[in-house]
Amino acid sequence: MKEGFVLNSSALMLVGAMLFGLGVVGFLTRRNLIIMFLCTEVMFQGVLVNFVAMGQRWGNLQGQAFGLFVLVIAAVEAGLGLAIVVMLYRRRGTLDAEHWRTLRG
Amino acid sequence: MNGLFEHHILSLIVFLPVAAAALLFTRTSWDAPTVRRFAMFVALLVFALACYATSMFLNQSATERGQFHLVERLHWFGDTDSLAPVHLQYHVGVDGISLPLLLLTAFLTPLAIWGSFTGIQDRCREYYSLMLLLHGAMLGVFCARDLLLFYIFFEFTLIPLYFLIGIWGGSQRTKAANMFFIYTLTGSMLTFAGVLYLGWKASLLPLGADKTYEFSFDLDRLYELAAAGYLSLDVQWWLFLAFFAGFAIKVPLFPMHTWLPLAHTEAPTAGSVMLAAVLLKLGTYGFLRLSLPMLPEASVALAPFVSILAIIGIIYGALAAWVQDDVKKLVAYSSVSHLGFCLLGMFSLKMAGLQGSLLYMVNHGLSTGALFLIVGMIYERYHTREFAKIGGLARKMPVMTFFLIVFTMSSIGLPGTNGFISEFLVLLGTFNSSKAEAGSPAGPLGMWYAIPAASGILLGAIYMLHMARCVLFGPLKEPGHGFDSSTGLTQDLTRREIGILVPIAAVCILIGVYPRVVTDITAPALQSQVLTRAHHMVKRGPAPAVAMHDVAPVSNRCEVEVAR
Amino acid sequence: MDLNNVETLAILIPLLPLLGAVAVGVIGLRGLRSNSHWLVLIGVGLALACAVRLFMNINLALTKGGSGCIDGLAKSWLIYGWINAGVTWMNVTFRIDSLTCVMLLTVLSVSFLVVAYSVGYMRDHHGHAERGYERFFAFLGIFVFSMCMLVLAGNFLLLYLGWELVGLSSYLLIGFYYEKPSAAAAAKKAFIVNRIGDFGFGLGIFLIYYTFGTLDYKEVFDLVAKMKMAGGAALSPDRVTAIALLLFCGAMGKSAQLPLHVWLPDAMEGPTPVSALIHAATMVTAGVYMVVRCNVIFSASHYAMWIVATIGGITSLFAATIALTQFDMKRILAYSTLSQLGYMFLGAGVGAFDSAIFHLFTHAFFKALLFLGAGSVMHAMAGVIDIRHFSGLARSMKITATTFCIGGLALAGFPLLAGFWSKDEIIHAALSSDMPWLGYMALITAWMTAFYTFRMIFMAFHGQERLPRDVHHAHESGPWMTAPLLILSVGAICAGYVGVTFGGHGFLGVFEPHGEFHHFLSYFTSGHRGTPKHVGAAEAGWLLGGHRLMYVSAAISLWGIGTAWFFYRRRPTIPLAIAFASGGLYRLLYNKYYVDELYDLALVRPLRRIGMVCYNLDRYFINAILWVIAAVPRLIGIILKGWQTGAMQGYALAMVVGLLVMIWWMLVAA
Repeated sequence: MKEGFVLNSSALMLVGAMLFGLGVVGFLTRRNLIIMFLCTEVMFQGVLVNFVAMGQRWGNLQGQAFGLFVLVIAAVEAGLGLAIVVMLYRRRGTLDAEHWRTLRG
Repeated sequence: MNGLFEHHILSLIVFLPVAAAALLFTRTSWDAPTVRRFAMFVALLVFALACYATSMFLNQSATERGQFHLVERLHWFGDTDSLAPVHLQYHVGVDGISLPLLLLTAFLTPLAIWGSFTGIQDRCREYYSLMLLLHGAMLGVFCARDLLLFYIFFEFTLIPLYFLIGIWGGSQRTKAANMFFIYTLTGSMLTFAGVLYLGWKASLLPLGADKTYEFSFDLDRLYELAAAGYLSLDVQWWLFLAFFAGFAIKVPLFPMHTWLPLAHTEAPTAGSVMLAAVLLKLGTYGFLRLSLPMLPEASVALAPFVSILAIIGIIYGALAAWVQDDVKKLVAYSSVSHLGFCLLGMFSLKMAGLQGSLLYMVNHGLSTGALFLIVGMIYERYHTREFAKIGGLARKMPVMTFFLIVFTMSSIGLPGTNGFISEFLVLLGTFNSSKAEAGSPAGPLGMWYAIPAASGILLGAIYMLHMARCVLFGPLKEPGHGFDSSTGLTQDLTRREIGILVPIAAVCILIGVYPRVVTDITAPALQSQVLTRAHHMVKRGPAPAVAMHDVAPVSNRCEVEVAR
Repeated sequence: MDLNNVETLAILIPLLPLLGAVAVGVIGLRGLRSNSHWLVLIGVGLALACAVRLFMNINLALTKGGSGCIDGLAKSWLIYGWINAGVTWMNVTFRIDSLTCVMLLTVLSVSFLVVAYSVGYMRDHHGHAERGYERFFAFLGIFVFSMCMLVLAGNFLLLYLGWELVGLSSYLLIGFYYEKPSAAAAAKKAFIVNRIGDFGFGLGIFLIYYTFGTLDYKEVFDLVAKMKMAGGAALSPDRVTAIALLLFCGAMGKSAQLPLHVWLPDAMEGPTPVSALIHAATMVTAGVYMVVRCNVIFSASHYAMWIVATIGGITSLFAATIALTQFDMKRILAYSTLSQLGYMFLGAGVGAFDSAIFHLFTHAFFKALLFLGAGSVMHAMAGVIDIRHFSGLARSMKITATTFCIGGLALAGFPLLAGFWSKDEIIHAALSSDMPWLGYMALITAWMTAFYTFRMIFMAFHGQERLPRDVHHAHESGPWMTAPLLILSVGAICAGYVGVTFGGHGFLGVFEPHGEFHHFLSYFTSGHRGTPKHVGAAEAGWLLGGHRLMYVSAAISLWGIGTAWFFYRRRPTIPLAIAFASGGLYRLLYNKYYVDELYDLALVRPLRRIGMVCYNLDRYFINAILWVIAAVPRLIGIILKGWQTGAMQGYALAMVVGLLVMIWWMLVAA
């Protein structure tokens, strides 16, 4: 580790923030459910990068451990989410988010 | 074996009914008699265990009885060794305050279960598992020594009772169950805010010499807060009101009592019995266990307020009871009146008043519980409780009449019965509250509180004898169809019903003649757990030099420390 | 078990009747049925024997000079610690002194006779026991137990216990015929009216504890005496007056003094032996006993004494006027009991505590006799007790008529009979006090007493024989009933002589007041008494000299009897004419001054109305407030639900904006 390129934790966090921002923008602007779903995944990864950066910043392994934890959860959640999207497509034949606005006051 | 018992007996007492409830709930193949026998057996077993626990407790010397015994402690989240800032634990134990109530619960539940043998015919399995669940939760409240644990048990009692009222209740059961649930839950939410705040405050109090801090709900630590000057009067005020919201509704204190008559009237007999005998006591127990020792200044400052509400409740409940045309409603309103006495004695902050108050909890449980049982027995026979439809039953039910008179007398505080002792002590404590005696400083109340409250002994006689006169005496009056023998009941009480009432009556007389069976246990605990704390006779913690009235800077400093 | 030991005897006295009662309660219905009386009779009889023994022991100690007894004649000891009141203990303590002895003897001897009488009374003419026979005797046993506890109590709390327990027995026994609505109502009324008095009594006890820090008789009385000696600052007179008046509230309830007298006439709904025992001879005198017991406290307050004497005097006159117009034998006797109790309070109120107890003692015998006689008549008349419906019973019921007449003479204050001596003493004391008008009032009452008693006797026993419709012939009651009548009539004649000494000249002049009885009691009553007012008071006047009062009251008694004879034997039209002529006044008296109606109007109805208001407040006001509170979240929901558009991205945008605002705020705040 000594000779190798040591990533600055600030740079890492910047990457995380950028990933998160991209995800947010994507989520807000696209109407395709699959794209929106992928955007949430991008946000997720942004947070994950942040965890790792924090771990490095404080000099312990908890951030990395938690990162792994989040990865697993994200994978599970991705499978679940995609399954739901598939089910929704089967019902209405479209992936436009505008078609699912029935849950309102 | 003995060691195992020593260490786990309270957990056994609390969780045996819960486990039995779970077991019972899954036994779909059991028929009704088996279910009844099983529930009864479990409840009796718990009672036996509670008696054994009592005998172990009584092995302690008189001075030791003021402390907690049979303590068991497990750490859920974090513990004292780690640096984790939050410390949640399972911590149980009994002292002289909780033991009588624990025994009362363990004593009355088998009788209530026995009393439902004929009354509950459908969905037996669910009914008895809910009863056992309720049993466990009630026992848990009295054992808990951790505020969070206390709160969990306290709230958990709502769930089984909600279903007991909602499924097996009378014609307005849904309304009654909802009202009961939402009413008490609303108050408890505020209490929970107080609980969390106290836990946070506890995290400001350094733990031991090494100045570590933890978020804790352990009662011992919470008791230290006020003594150590971490709770200013303002803070105590708000905390008191937060606790008050939950407990006063549970008690119920005067303007918050309207759920009670409805819930009592609609609940099945055993539900009413449990509600009156134990669940109402959770409120008074909360005041005694938490508000008084933890928030001593606020308790003194707000004592007149609480007491005036209690006195209004005494008179109001009695007068409202008098005009009821339904026996069960009458008894329900009488609870409002009686529990007023209970709170009044407590806030006198005198040994006599506290003794009376605690004894009142036990006595009210016995006599009102028994009254509800008898009303249930009448109801099972005639399917009505209205004065207009039944009357003069002494002619046909002499044994029932005997018991009803005994419990009526106990309820109106006739000397020689248990009711007298507690009523007398409460009023004596209140009357003498303003007077400082040797070893007992003056409390916040005085004779001008006792005088209106004493009218309760007159009003109590009026409504209870009104009931006795209407139900028992005068010419016989019964609904056209006579009594219902479809469940194997006889005109007068059956052996089973007599077997239910005899133990209660015996205990009522025993306490009336020799109240020391209870007060010898309670006195040291009330002194060391409540009175000394409420009067600040003990000051511990890191800031003993700080006087009580300028505590605010101290607590501010602590907050700053943590913020850094 | 040492039967010479005072302590053992004192414990046995209440315990034996209780055991009898409990045994009857447990096995009466199954095993004994119509033999249930034996257990209680034996229990009470043995208790009576113990009381006699106790009396002899105490008397011996008195003559020997108080060996084995502390404080002269008083002995007080702990049975067990009862209630832990924090700083102090409330104990079960007994106290034996001369007053206790007198009360025990009175109570137990009358009780014993009444229990025996009930064996005959509670059966029909064929000797079959009435329904509830065993219940009746169990209740009697409980009553005797409670009354003994009341009398033996060594502190105020135990007194209160006995006090309430006799109330319970009274409640149970008045309501013995529970199917009769009037009996059920009367029982309830008795208990509740007593509770009104007990409300004050209880507060008095609290105030005693508050002031003196103890409830033990001896300690309290010693403290009062000491403080009185020390002078004003130590004990405020207002406090003593308050204590005395609160205690007197209890006495007013229990002894049925104005205005709490309303329960006693209604209590006659109970079986007649009960009326004789509880509502004439023993329980109702508990108030007098208590006032005399607390004579130290009462005599420390001039004002309280004045109230006691005035209430006693007024009740006495008031009840006598009502008795003039009643027709129910038992009710006449009930009002006469009120009147005689008034005498006792009058005596106590003017400081003649020993005379009050003396009158209590003699009254117990002749009033029990009268009631039992009335019961005998009632038994023979198949339950009819209205003296307008029968007359001339003297021929067929010789023993009853004779003994009743003796009782009547004693009540009327006929010379040389029991009532004469005791009543005279009280009148004398009242006349010589600073309230002589009470004495004159008592003399008027004495005339009325003689009149209404003999009005009843002449109407019921004399003249032509006339019977109620469904009774074919009047017949004398059996020996179970007549024997107690005979024994009691001996008492009614002789009981007075324990209270007089012999000496002096003239017909009545050979008798001097204050005999053995007073001597025995003096150890108790004189200890704390101030200046005895009835010896040589200045206001004495003419009446008090020599034995003049004796002659005057004898004349008054004879005059009253004579008037009754003239009105009801010679000119039966006169009473009717008077009744017509007085119109409103007669109706007022006949309806007992409308006190019951007044209570109903002023207390019962308003209270019930308030109760109704409370209940409706619950249903319509508090629950309405709750509804409003519950409506708040619903309303908020209605307002906020418009923001719930269902558009996912809208929510996300709101979240992002919120996040940005928070970040901005944190940066600015930092």
